[in-house]
Amino acid sequence: MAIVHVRIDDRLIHGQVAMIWTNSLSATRIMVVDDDASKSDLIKMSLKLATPTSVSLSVLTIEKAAGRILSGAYEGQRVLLVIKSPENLLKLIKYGVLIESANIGNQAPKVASKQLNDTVSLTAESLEACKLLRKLDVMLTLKRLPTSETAEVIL
Amino acid sequence: MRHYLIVTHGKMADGMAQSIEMVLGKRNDLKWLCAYVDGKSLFDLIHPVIENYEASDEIVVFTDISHGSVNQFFVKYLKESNFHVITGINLALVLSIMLLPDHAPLDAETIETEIEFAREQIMYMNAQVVNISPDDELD
Repeated sequence: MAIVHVRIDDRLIHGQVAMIWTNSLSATRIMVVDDDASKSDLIKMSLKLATPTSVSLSVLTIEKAAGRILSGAYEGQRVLLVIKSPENLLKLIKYGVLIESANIGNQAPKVASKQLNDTVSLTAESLEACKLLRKLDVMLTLKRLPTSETAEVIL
Repeated sequence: MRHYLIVTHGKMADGMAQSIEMVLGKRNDLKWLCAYVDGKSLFDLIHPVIENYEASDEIVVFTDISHGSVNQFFVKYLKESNFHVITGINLALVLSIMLLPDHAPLDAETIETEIEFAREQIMYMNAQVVNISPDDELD
């Protein structure tokens, strides 16, 4: 399958974390699926700077990403898909994209959010989205680094 | 076992360690010392930590600046086997060394490669040309 890893991270692509995962997965492309980022040249430039030089970058709206994925545009590639939240991942799936698993990397604390670990806190809405993702057979993990132990998300 | 020790003038070591643990999580193979924040001599500060390592351990010491007294203090340990000293550190360098697999030996060539890689990460942002490739989808 073209998508080799799905990362839920509200900081999208950043520094060493991006490099570590990209190398470990031998990713050929990072795909940022985010409506706001897709509309901002400034965000696109900073995402490009954070992307390792040998890796291609896509910054697409959820709808456009779904269209591109379903059309088989990435066959033969190794795509690291990065999306901001469980809610957005649910939207992507509703367009018909098949996602088998997603790793929750960073979710900053918000008002009334529940802390799952050092870097992940989920609001009630996000927790609901995670439950729906589970119902759709998406395996959710909390794995900090490729070498860390895989922890399942307890809802 | 491989151990990492960051030693700097003042609290840079505290800061570095905190930043490292933000990315890598808490590490039991990382120690750090801030020199000259209390009245202790470098020897009194550093020697007990070095003494505590096992003879079979591999030690990687990271220091802040080559001409400083902290780095100079470690010159005497360079004759020991399995004792590496790297100076002029930045976050990229310490992270990439700490991310090397344990089973791979830490030889001069490996360390020099990581140093070169870290050097490239020091850049004047204003002059950075963002190289967009035809394989990108940014529109």
